[in-house]
Amino acid sequence: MITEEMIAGMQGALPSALATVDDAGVPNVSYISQVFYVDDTHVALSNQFLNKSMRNISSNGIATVNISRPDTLKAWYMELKYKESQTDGDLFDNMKMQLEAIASMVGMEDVFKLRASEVFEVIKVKEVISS
Amino acid sequence: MAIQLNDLVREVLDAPSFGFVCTINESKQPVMTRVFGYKFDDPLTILTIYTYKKDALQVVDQLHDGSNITATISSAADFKTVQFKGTYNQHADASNQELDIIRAHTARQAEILKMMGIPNEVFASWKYEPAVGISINVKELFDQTPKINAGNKIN
Repeated sequence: MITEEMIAGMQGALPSALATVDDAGVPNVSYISQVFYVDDTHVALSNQFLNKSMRNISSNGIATVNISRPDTLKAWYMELKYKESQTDGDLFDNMKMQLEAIASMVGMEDVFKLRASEVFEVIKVKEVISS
Repeated sequence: MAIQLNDLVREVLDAPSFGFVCTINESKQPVMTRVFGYKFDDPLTILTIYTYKKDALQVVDQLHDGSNITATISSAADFKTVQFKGTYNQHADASNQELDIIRAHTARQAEILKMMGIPNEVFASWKYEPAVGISINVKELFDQTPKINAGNKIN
């Protein structure tokens, strides 16, 4: 499902857009710092300030996220199904380390703090049409 | 009802901001497409988002009277971000005058990306013509700037 070409879009160089929907059908779009590769069918999203997004996800488990490669700007949409939240362990530690590097690059060390790693199954991948 | 724009919203809309416009499909899955420019009235009632028509079809095909639409627009220079929530007003192919808005906006986007290390030739791979304008009856604004209380309602 997740190709090698897509993994370069998961290094946190460009923020990703996370779209969710509430029970009334109102979409919510937030930018997130990390879409972290877990395995070929799973990703983890960095939860720093996700409030409404997590309420929506807790209610219906549905999300769509966009990733973009910084070298080519080639981009993809991934339809996601929520699995679990992790606040410790290897995945959380690795994401925390990467987030600290991202925060340092953009001067947001005091703001970007990882609250949780939100793990999703990738249900569908669609390339962004750009030509 | 018209919404008075505060300094944050003006700053974000005046900047060469990036963003996404989103609705949901028949399976309630969010579908979105990239923002390449916009126009708005002041005080705000309608926000028109310009997108690349081919990629926007997945959004446009879902729109009907009363559809919920959300656009999140962010200034890449300082991360100030505003989320606009409302309902579908209309969509139409961008006119020549609107293409001028898009070309001016994307030229400024290219400069920002260049400062971030992304060459203009790479940015040129993002096509935006033919473009479509999706108009939203804006009802609510939210401050999505990264911070502890992100998501506070503005209006």
